[in-house]
Amino acid sequence: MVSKRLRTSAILSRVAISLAAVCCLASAQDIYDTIYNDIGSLPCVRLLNATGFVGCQSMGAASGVLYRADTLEDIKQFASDGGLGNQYTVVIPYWLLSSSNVDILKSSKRLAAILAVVNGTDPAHAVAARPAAIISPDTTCPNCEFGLYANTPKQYQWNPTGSGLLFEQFDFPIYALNTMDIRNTMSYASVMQAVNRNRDKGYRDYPLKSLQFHSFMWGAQDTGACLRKGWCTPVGGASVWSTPSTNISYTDEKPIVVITAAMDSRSLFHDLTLGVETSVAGMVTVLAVAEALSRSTIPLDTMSKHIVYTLFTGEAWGFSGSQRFVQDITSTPIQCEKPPTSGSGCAYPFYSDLEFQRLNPANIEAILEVGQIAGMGGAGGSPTLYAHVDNIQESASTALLNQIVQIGANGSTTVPPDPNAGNPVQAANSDGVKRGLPPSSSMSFLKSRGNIPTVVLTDFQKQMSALTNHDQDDSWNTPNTVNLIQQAASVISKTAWLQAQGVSDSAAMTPAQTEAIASIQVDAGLVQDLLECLSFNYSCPLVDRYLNVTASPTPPARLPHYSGTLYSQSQPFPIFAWSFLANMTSVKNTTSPTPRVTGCSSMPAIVQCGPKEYCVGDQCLVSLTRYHDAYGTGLAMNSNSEYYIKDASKPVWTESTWDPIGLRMFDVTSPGSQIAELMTGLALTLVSSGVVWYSRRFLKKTLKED
Amino acid sequence: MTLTTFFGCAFTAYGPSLAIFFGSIAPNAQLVILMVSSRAESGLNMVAMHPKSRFNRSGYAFAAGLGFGLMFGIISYITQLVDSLGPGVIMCESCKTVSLYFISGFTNRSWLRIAWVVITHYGASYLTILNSSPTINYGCAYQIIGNVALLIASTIIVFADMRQLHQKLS
Repeated sequence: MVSKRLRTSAILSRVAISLAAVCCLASAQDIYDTIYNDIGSLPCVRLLNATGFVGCQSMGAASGVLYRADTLEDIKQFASDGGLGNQYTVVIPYWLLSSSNVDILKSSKRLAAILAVVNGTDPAHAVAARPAAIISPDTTCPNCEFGLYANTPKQYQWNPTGSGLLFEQFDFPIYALNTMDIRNTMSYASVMQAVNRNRDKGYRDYPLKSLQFHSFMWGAQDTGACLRKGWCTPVGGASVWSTPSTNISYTDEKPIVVITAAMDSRSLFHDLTLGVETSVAGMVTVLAVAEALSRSTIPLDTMSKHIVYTLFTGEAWGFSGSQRFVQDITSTPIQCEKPPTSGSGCAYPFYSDLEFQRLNPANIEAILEVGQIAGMGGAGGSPTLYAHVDNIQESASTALLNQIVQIGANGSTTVPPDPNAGNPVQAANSDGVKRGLPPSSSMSFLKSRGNIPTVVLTDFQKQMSALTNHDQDDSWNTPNTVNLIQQAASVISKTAWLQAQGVSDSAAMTPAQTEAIASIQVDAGLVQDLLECLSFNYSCPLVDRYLNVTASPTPPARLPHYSGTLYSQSQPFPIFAWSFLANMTSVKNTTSPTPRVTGCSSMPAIVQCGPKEYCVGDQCLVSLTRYHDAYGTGLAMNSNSEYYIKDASKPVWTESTWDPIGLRMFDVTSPGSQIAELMTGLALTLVSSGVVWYSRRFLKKTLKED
Repeated sequence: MTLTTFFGCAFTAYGPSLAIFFGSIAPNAQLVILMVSSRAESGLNMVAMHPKSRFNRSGYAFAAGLGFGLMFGIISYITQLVDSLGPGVIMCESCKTVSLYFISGFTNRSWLRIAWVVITHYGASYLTILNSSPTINYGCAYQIIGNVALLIASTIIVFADMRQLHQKLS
């Protein structure tokens, strides 16, 4: 009877066990979610160059109890508080992230990691709390070691207040918090809730909220060593060049006018790199120039000079994009040893495209570059633009400089010049100081041939914006910025047009030319749209018209302007620039008698473009717009598709590879209670052993007679 | 959770079961087999040292019960224990300074008699709800006291049964 009962219960238990097993397996993720709160991660990562590395890394998984420090006093208090425990994650506002403050935090010997709040809703992190004096985290002369004046004894320092934070080495994780989207806002909110709770408990009353970071970087030593081990990838991406002259050739001996800007930027936290001041405004200007010039009633491809637009990627990394472009066009013709199995370009030496051989560097007759132009560097609404020229071969650029200043003074009909503001375009050396060119892509061209007339247009005369390569370059005065960009685009488009027509004096123009130049108007609405699209909203109607981005289940909004690593990341801005320029420089209405074929993207089964046509924004068009590989010219790819250092004196920036990185938040108990838990477990086991031993003896004795 | 807490919890959860296993099951190969599978009971009875002994059944039931208990304990908690190897803990709502894992270790021992088995099993399980109660302070302490009481009662019943059996036989 007993056995039957037991057997029934055995079967019942077995069913229960199977059910329990299924439940347990299903709930494993729930348990993880109950314990851990994964926080959106915006990491600082490790980058390597020819001589070493910069950025952040931690050997193991660093974890520390959240600690809040809002001021320098708080940081000092943290360092001096002897009553604190072992490891802490300190939450500080971004502007307190400086070498000296990091040293104070490290001196406490209990710093596990830093969370830097770039933007937050807490009053201590709000825009209003930002200090008036902003300090650029770049060096005092960004990229100058790769610039035109690298060998000049006393180079002018364009960024004198630069702290060089981007070039520091941190052996602990640093992550950012930024309320820039829903996910990151939630992360910020949960971290703040946790850190405030810890603070209310005096950081002593356990359980406390702790944060763990995974930030192990594989790349070590320098680029040479890590490339050999395969632990890093070149920093870079795709540059874009485009010309309305679809028939341009190396031997046509027609001069070339280059209009250029940079497309990428850098900052400590690559996911936050925006670079509106550093690159976006310049890129918008070039795109607006292309649009304005496309309206010319005299077709651009019939002019006496070619116009070539170039937008370079990798400029933040030692002018990698422009230097590679110049290096490639000056090594024409390319000896392709191994043609690609499919498509264009060359398999070895690797080139994704070879059309650049149609550009003859000897024909370049003028370079018009747009540098920092967003007016964010405390320009205070002053709409003045400064035209910089090289001071070594200054005479080569004098005529071009004068032309730009004159066109600026004449103003444009869309921007009535403010009589109080003086001339909207000034020669940067008008104060009598010859500083030369600020760090710019033009330097790459001038390094190969110094006598090309070159003008770089910026919003500063003596000093770069303090927001240069800063993570907090996320607020600007839109009307002011749009006005500056429009002004710059207007001056550059007219100068380029006059240059291309070969007209040095606007008074000597024919009636047709006068009419044509009047048709070149920069569209302020387009400038504003481009600025908005390329900074905060990649899914805007303008981009969507070209790339149908809203068809994605998660339409992108703010995208990082860090170039990324070569051939491994999508290049949203080069892709858009390519599409936009292809559209603007394509054979347009004036020369093409028939309307364009549309529907190649919306109805691909019915409408197919011709063999030499591209489908851009649902239209088939012919255009000479190409991508160009952009990565450090010190690097090269061997026949096994591996990168190596070819010339360590040139830029060789690489980014370390890493294990999946992230951070999670959880409760921790005090060390004391952990030991108590272990002791209880051990005691229970020992007591049980004793009871078992005693029971056995007792039973043996009692049941002995059996 | 740190390694210290992990071992604390592991010993708390499985220490007593392991003590019983090593103390009274492991020395007898038959009981080990039984512990893993009670279906072998009739076959094992034939090769037992005392095939006709009526005490075999109690011993076998004990081994089988421990087997189920341990198996259940392992299946229910090993996932959590593995999860807990990470640095985080779930805090016990009713005793805000203790981690929930640590409390759960106490809840799993029970054996004998269908009604008692059902009552004690459910009772022990429901008592653990006290752990996560946000309103009852020191709920985890009541839970431990309750469960220990159930354990003692069960033990007394087992011994009473054994004695009864023994008296019947003698």
